[in-house]
Amino acid sequence: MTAIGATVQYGPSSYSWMPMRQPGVSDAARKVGQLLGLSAAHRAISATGLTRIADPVASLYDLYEECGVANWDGEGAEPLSSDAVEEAEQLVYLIPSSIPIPEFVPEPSGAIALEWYEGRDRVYLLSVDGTKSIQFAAIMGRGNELHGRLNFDGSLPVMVLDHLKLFFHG
Amino acid sequence: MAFDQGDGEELTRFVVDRRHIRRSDNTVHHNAFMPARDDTLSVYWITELPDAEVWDIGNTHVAPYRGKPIIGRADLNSLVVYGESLRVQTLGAQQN
Repeated sequence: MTAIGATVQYGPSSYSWMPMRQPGVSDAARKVGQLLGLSAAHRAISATGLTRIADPVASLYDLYEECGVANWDGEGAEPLSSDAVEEAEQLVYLIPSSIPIPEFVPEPSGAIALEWYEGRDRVYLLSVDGTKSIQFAAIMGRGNELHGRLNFDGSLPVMVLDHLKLFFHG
Repeated sequence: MAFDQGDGEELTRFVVDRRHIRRSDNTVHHNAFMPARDDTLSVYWITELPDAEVWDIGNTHVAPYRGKPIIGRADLNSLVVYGESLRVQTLGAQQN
């Protein structure tokens, strides 16, 4: 019996939790410290019962701890960027309460996707990579697919809001 | 055996990372099929292979390379790949 390896070829809250000003500490290290501080803060909030936001955000920072290193998937993935984590967190806070909190999915490019999944023919994805843009992709019923890119200025784009309303409320 | 005859070929993507699997129903997230930096993604051609042999390929050729055990696989037809304007490139044969 013969098996042949094949390759799929692809074509072409700005948060300041607590200032950690330490001489000799790089901006990157400082940012990581801030993010980890945020993670601890969110766990504390979670303990008080504000679970709609706090638990998902804590899981976002857990993901950052796991995937904030190169090659986290064993196939050469880029580390999740702290800027991407911040943008993902901003999006979570911007989601209306009538919309469920999404699942976070790390991407090998270092971006983070927010995924709403209701079956193989109903999926909505937002992806942020820390560059102030949002990529969206959706399957809203068999044959109804859409995707695109929008600027992200810290507010939830109206188009995304409309998509989510359509996705969940018809 | 010629590649891509008639109804397409069965391909599989071995999964070693739990973050590629959707917990709610054990299907794969999109990230399981996102390419690495070189815009390529490793899959295996499994048309007509018995299930046990497919898993054996993963355990023998994929898990050691990835440094993690195989925890699942996602099968798809090559026609799905072409439907997304991607292409499948065969690289070589492994005799089992």
